[in-house]
Amino acid sequence: MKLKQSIAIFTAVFFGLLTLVALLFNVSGLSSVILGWASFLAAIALILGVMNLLLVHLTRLFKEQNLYSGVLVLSILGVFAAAVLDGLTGSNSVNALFNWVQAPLEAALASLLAVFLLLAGVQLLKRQHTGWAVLFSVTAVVMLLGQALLTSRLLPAGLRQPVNQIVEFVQNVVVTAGLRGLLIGVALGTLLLSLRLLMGVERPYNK
Amino acid sequence: MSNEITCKECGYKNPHSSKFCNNCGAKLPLSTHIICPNCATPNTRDRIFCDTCGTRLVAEHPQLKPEDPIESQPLNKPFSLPARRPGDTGELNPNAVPDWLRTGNIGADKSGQAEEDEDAPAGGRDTSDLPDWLVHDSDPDPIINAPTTISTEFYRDLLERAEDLPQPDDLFPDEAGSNLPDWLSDAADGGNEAEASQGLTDWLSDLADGDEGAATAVADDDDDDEDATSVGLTDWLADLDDDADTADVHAADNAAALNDLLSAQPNEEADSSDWLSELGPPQTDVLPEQQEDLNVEDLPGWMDELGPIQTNLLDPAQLAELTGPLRGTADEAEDFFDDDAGEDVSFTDLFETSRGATESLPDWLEDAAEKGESFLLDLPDESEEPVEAEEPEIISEADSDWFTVEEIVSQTDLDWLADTGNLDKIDDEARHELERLHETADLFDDGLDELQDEVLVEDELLANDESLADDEDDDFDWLSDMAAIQTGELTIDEIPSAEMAVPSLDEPEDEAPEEPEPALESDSWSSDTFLAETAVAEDLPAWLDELGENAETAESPEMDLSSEDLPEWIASMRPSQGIFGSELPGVLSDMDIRDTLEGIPEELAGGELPDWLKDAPPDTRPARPLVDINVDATQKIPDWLQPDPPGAKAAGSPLLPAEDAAPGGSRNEWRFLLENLPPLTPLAESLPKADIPEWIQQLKPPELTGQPPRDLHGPEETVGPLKGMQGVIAIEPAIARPRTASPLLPHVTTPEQLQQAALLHQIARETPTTVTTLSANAPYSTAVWLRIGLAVLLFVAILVGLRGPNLLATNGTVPANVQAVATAVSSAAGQPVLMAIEYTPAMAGELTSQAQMLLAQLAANGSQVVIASQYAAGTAVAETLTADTEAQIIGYLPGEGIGLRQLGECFAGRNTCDQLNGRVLPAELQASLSEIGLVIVVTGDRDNLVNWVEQVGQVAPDVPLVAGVTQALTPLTRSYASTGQIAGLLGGAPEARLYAQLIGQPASGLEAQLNAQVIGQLLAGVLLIIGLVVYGTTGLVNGRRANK
Repeated sequence: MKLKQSIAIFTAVFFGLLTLVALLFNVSGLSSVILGWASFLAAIALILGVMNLLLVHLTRLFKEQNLYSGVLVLSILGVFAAAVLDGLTGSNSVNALFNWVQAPLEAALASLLAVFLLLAGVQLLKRQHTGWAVLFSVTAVVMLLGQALLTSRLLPAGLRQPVNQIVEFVQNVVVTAGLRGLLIGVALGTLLLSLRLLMGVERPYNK
Repeated sequence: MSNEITCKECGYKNPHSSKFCNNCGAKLPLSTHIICPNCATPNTRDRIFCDTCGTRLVAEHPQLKPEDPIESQPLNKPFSLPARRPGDTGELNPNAVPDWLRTGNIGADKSGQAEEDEDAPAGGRDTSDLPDWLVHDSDPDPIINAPTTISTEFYRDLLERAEDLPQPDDLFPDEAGSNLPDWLSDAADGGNEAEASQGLTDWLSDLADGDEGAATAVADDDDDDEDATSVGLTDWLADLDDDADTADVHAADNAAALNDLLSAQPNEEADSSDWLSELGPPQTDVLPEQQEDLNVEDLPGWMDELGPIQTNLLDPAQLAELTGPLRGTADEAEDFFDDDAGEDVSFTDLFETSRGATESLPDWLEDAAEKGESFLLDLPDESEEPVEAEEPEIISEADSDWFTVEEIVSQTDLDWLADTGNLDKIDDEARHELERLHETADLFDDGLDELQDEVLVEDELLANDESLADDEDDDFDWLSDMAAIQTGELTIDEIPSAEMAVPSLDEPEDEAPEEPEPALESDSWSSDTFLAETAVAEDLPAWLDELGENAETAESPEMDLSSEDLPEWIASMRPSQGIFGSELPGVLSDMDIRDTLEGIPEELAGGELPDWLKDAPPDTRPARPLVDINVDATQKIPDWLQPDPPGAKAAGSPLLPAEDAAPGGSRNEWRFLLENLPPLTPLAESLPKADIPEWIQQLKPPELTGQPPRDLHGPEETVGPLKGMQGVIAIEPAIARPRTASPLLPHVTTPEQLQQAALLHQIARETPTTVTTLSANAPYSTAVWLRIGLAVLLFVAILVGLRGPNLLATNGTVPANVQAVATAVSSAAGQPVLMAIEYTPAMAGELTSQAQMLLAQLAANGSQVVIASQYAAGTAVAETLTADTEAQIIGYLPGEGIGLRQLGECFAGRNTCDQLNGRVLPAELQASLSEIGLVIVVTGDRDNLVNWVEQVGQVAPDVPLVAGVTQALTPLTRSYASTGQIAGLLGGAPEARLYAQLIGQPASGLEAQLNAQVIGQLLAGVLLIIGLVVYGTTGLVNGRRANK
């Protein structure tokens, strides 16, 4: 094992145990100091990451004439320049860029998600002729139609109550049961991962 | 070649003889070749003994018997094809190979032979089949003995024996003057004078004693002397008579080759000695080179000391006989018989001790003594340059001891010299002269190195035949011509000594050969010429010259030099029959040549004298008489030497045949020798051919012998791939030993291998299925129109709902959770209310209406609104919502659950909250936070709702929490509402419409939005039903079709 890796492992284990002790014994000052160091390091890492990203795409732009890299570089430099101008002039150009560029783009991507999910659901049986596929499709149809019908006036009043009960049953029993199980699994996984980090077995910082 | 063993497992290279891999431990393959019979340890082939237990791996006496190779070999054996030498195509006959060579076990063979042949010597080996050159003289064992056992000890013994043999380094020691051959260097060694003289071949000794030999030749008249002539000569010289016919044919070739050989020698000093040494006895015997300008001091020491060498042959009795007349008049006779008298007594000493005897010298000797140092200049052919002759000191230095002694010996060893009584007349001046000459002779020892330069000069002079011919008249080797003079064949003329100018001794030595003399005829050169051309000959003392003049007054002017007249010890010095035909008895006649060789140094005996010379038996064939005549020299020969004995004249020269005896003198002699040289053949051919034993002859391939190929013999192979073949050479036992291979490890199949094999088998058995290619256009086209159709329907439904008829039901029942919200908000009237805007613009269409109704109600109740958000975009949304109101905005709340917990601690005064998440809060805000009476969370995100409920509700349970959520998050929120963690809940647009009706606020926009939502939900439900029916039916139909 190299010395560099040993130092990293020692640092992670040491500060992990130190944070655990601070949480167990409610030493808020210690955890705050450690969290301040972590935030500082994260800020430096963010700067280094941004600079590395800029250099990489500059290299790809001038060596490979990659236009996407050029757009990325221009976006970074544009936002940075807007932030500098906001600081100097007191304008709100950064929020304008966010509202006129980033928000529509993310909303469009989210809309596409609905399209992709619908397409996948439609072609599900084309890909897989399994019972689970049928169950997934039936559940999706029930939930979509149930939510939509219950909210709309299209569902007759006589069917509203049974449909509502079905939807409630699915959401409160089936979905909640599944999510609780998922959360328990996540908690167990988090605990195990924390132990591995404290024991130095799991080393995400060496990847 | 690497002996490393590569591991098959890991590829590691292990050192040889490793059993297991040094890297992975895997067992290594056996790369060795010899398995120890004792411990089964594999050993490499180069080991004789086992590396583990020391057991001998290769048997000393192979158990394999050639007559029964099959039985002694294991059945499972390797084989080898019959081997033969490269290029040999003859059939190998194993029976033709000697047993000891075939088996490598001489002892066994010999023992077997001993049983068969009882006559064979027990201790030695039978050398009858070996040639003489392979058998040592004194050792009956052959020089190259077949080994009894081919082992390491055999080769070690062979090497030791080889070390005992004379080595090349021994023959050419690195000493001063080492460029000369050892036989020359050793001759110059005063300590081994006697041995050196004995080690010299007769021809060499005769060259040095040419004068003496010539003198003895005078008395040699009979043909019986010819036998002794060949005693010291080699066979080829002894065979001159027999090879005369063929030698005449090759004479010219020999002379030309000799000239080429001599002229081709380089002028470097180092090479000059080499070629001398390489010439060897058969070639150097023709090379007493001429050297006209050679000074006496340039002569080598070995020549200088030839005089003492001769005296070494004298025993005390002989010395007493010789010095009898001298001893009587000697003043110090006791010095004459010192310990060294018999070993190294020179005639210089002799004269020193016989000082008183000079009184008996003849007048001419006395006169010579009176002349002192200048008498040497009065030679018979003295130079016409009296100026140089008048320099007595130079002349005395130029003279050599040996020369002087030789001249004296040639006369003092005669009885006439002793009988003259004139020796008494030799005065002290003469003695001093001799002493000085003796001292100067030591200088010649230092001139050995310079001899090489002079040899080069000799080469040039040798090639100068014409000048030699011209100088024939100057040949005054009167001593060597005495025989001819006595026989009357020689007429004495005046010597034209005009050209015999004595070179100035002051001149540098290297100036002499600068102007080479005209070419001489190589065949006209002789030892006499050599002496005549040298300054030594020219510088003969005058008393010697006068000796001839006073010869008439001598008491024995016609002295017969027969054996009767010579002292016995002098006669014994010569070969029994005379070297040059002399009949005088000598020590050499009775001396076996091998006995003589035993006395010489070991290096000289082993190196210079080849075996063929040692083995040469005394040749008893009559030697051709030689004639060494210098007619011109007789003019200077004393008269007492000129009377020709009738017998000598009739017999002619003993050296030359009678028909070759011509006035040419020494030239004829050398011509005769050159003409009778054996054909110049390569050294290998000139050597006597060895007798190859029969068993080696049998090994010769049939192609070389011309014999038809032999039939294959030998045992027939009965097993193996060579079954039916004959003549297969037995396999080396070490190779034939079967290798003990380790058993193969059992193959273990692993489960993985089995699984892989099963998978491979399954894939192989499956029928190939055709790959169905899905059409990309059909689903895409369907989806496109479906998507577009659905989007259009939804868009129409929203438009219809917003602009169409109102389908909402009126007077609906207000749920309890909605009423609880109104109650909580009313309860918090007048108190600060924290409203968390935890949504982004994506959820603004559904939640913004709730937030606006709640903000309006709070404003109506007079509650201070504090805005916070865990989303950065939520802060912007909040600022937009509170643009028209006076709300306090905390801003972004980092830290998720911890941040919300810390915020919750600010409620109810638990924490001062002067700083919140690293930010300093204003005092108004801190006061508002401490007085918060209601927390309203408007969110569409589950995590945010959970953090607020679980973190803030836990630390601030007294502060009610009301949630306005989306219709999708309503089920989750109901769970908290059912437990009381949430005081009120507004679930989606339907409950918001009811809440608006409850508090009496207008909700026109909210109703249009809800109407569009309802129409869209109906449309979606209908479409889902259609999709379920259509695709459900289609799927069922297709499924049935597929099942059918």
